[in-house]
Amino acid sequence: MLSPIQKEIVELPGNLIVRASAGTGKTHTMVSKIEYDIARCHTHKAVAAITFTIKAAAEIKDRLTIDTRNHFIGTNNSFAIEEIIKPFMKDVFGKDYKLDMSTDYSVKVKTFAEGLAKIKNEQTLCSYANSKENFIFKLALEILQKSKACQLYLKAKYFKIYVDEYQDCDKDMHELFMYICEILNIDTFVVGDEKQSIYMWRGAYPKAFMSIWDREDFSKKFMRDNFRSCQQIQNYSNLLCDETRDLYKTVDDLSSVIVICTTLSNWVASVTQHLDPNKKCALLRYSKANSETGAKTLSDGGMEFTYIPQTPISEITTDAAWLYNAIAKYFILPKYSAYDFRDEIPNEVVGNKRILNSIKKSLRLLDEWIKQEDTSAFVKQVELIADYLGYDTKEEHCKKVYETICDPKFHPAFNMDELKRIAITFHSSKGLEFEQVVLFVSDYRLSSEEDIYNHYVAATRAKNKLILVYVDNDPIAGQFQMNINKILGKSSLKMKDVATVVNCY
Amino acid sequence: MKFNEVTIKNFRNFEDITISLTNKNVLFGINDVGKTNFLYALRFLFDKDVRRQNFSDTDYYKKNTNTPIEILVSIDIGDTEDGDSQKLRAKLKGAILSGQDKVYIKVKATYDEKEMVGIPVLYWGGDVKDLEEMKVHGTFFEIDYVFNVFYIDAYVDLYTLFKKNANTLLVNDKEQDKEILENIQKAYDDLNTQISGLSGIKAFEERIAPEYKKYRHEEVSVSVKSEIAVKGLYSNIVPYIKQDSDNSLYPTSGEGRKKLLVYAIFDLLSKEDEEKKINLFLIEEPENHLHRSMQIALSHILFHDEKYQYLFMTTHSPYVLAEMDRVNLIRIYNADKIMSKSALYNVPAEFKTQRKMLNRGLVEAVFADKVLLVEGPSENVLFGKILSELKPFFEADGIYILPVGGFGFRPYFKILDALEIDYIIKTDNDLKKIKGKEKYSVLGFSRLNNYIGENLLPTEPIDESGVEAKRKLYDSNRETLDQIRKKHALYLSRCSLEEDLDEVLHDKMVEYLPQAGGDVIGYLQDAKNNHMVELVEKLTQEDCTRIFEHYNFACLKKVTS
Repeated sequence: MLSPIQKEIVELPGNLIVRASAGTGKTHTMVSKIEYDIARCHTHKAVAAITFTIKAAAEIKDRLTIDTRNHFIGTNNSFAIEEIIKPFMKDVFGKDYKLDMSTDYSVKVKTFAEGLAKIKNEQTLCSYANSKENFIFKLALEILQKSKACQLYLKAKYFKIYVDEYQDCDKDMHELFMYICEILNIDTFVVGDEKQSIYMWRGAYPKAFMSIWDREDFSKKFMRDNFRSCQQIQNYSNLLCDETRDLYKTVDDLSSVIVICTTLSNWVASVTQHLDPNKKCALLRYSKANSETGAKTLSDGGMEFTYIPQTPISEITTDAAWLYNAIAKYFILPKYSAYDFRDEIPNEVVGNKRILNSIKKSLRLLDEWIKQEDTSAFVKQVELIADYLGYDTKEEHCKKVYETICDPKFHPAFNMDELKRIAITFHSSKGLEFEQVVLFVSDYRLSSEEDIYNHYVAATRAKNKLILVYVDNDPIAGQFQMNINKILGKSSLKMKDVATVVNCY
Repeated sequence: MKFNEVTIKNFRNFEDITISLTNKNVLFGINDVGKTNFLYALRFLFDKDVRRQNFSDTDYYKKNTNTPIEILVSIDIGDTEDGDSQKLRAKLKGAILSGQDKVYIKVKATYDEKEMVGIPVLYWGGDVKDLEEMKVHGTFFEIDYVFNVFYIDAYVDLYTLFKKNANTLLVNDKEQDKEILENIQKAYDDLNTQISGLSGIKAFEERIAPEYKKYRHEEVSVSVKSEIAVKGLYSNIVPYIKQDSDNSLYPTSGEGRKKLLVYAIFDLLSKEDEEKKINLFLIEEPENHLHRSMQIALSHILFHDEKYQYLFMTTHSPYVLAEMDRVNLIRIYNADKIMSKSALYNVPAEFKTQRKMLNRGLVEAVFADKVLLVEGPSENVLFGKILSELKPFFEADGIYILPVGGFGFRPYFKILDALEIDYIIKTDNDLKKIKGKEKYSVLGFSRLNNYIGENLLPTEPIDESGVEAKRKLYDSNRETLDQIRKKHALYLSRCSLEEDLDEVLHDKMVEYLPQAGGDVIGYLQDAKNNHMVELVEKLTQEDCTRIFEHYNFACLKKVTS
């Protein structure tokens, strides 16, 4: 089912930019559009659906009901690497670069030349030490601009490119995507929400997204109807940003957004009395430490919250990252089978029996080594399976897999969906939704645009209940109070007009 | 996208052969020189169903399994706007680099002595010296996502083809089909109930079970059912042809009808994916079972329908070539060591509208080993008579007489030259009055010089015309003309057919053509063909021998030598 605006977006041909506020059904619309466009393309040409995370790519793949083998669905980095750098680097930089490359972003370089040398000498695609500069995309653009063969390839293969979460693109990504759109003349669809830009600290450049909004060669659509949050939560989040402020609709019942003024010693009791124990709930905090202690304090206070930690393997960014995750999931999740494992192998045709048998055998052996607590045999076996599938591993990474599997505290990270109440950093909560959300206002000064966006993202995770905890005597909470009043003041409103304010000292 | 060249090494009867290609290719040649094997070479490259069978030792040239089989095709994809070029490029990815316009696709199979099989491995890329190994998923190589091969063999069976593709051709997935399909199932059940009610069936079922149990004792019963109910709807339906004027069904009687229906089915199948993949048609001797007129109709479709854009066809039939244009003619010959010659044939722009006429003689000539090119129908009638009197099997020996008519010799001998088919030209010693002058240009001499590409004969205009002037001109250059006969197989008449013949057989001609009133030359030239036929009917074997042995008609001896 599509809403009228979603239907318009799906059926509109040509270049298109969509601003999609939180909860407006962005992924659903994009998936519908991809299916619609593919059904109407009668040639051999394919689409590229480009996301920021492997998880988002998997979700799109999962939701598409068509055969996706011929199409590219993956992260922006894998697009740059698999479609441009690996195949065409030799065309621009010479035969020395006709080699098997792997990626490891933990390897840092300062200059472009150093990055090239890393590829030539160590077959490793690395990243810039300065996190606001993007080596992969600078290299990809250089190749694309200079390689006629690469240009012809992309034009011959793709009729449309879809880029998700465009507000998170940095300048280098933006330049590459605009080159593909303008110079190669491939239809481009971008969707994003500048209000949800929470990665500016690492180079995300939401102005790029808005610069497309000003272009004449793009049709423009704005999805503002939030289907996730109730009207009162929508009101609160919409009032935070200039471009959605006019969506405010007065409601009579103010029980969905509750500001609890409390003390550090009393906050648990005052918060839990407002939570429905039968519905899903998330405590979202800025830092990991606060998330963890928050979970503990709440649990001690009688309402169990599970802290979702970052797993040892979550920071790994090499090609084999999916493999580490799949192994961990196999041993941690009871329902995850060797078949699920096989389905995660990138670029593999489903149904290859030989591969399945080999995977089953390897997993049996890994199980044995875990039982015998033999770390080195485990590491060796992971190396063997990676080698069989054509991936490079690092010993320290394999050890991290072992650690992830053997320490139960990491397990909740793999089955978040089945937990009723969790505590998590709000950066990790992007794209998720919960019936009830608890925020600490001391996490948001609201003094910069970036900070307002952070608060917007956190608030819009909530469907029916948003609890804002105001801890007395906290200086940052004080700043929040001052700034939120200023922001609400722009619409001539006060906090008590949009939320229920409760004093629990 | 344009096919460029194929090289076949160590495969079946090809030791090492390179043939230039274009998008429409016709192969011909005597039997057993490897036309089918040539198509197989392409199938091992492009057709996954054939490739899957692997190479056996007999696929290696003279069973030489120490050397790998290699089949290499080059295709020009320099036209970057062309959809088919893009289809290839989209899969080639980084295997083709900037500045490279041709893609080389190669299958190579090294024989594995232990497994007793040659496993095909595919390579491709823009640099023939540095090809990339092609990615493979199961039995699908990358190239199998690009090309669709339609191999239509000479004896393709309509019913097998229909059954194999019934699921693609008959899609009953509409809402209203559901009910109909249910009704059909009910009808099957009814049918089987009725069948099992027959006394003969019952009796058989009762008698057979005890007999079976003599061999194997198990608790079974045997029942007789209609096949359709057991194997499903598509196992049992076949196409029938119904004439619009007639209500009865023909079980597609006649092999000719079946064959046409086969081509129609291939048309439908090729439409399925035509925008997503490149359709390659490999057709073997389509003339089988087809009447001449049907062959000509098929020829029109093969050479003018967009669908057959990429065509590799073998044939023995001139009728299949009747409409040929923009085609690469590939002649394969010499059964000992296979040789080939190919020639690109485009109907010259000035003859586009007369394509069929121009082609009529040529399509016969390309199947011959030796061709006598003559001016027109009179020569054809006379020479045909003489040869069939003296060499009754001249056609079976590969000799063909081709009258060039108004098209001139050049469009014909250009192709024959390229295909290395021997030919002999017999042309007239024409003179032509120069406008406004009492001078005559030596047209016959100029023509010879022109064909040879060298001015061996004088081209100065002369002052007289007429028979005697021609003879004088011929005789004074006889030495050179004899050399030209020997070296270039170009035979100039002393004058023209009728006068040269008169020299040999004057008295007899006067006798045979009473209506000529003595002027036999004038009579023959008056109504050329008809009067020549009249004469030829009366020629005796002795007359024919005299003509055959005469200097004026030495071209006949030459063509039969």
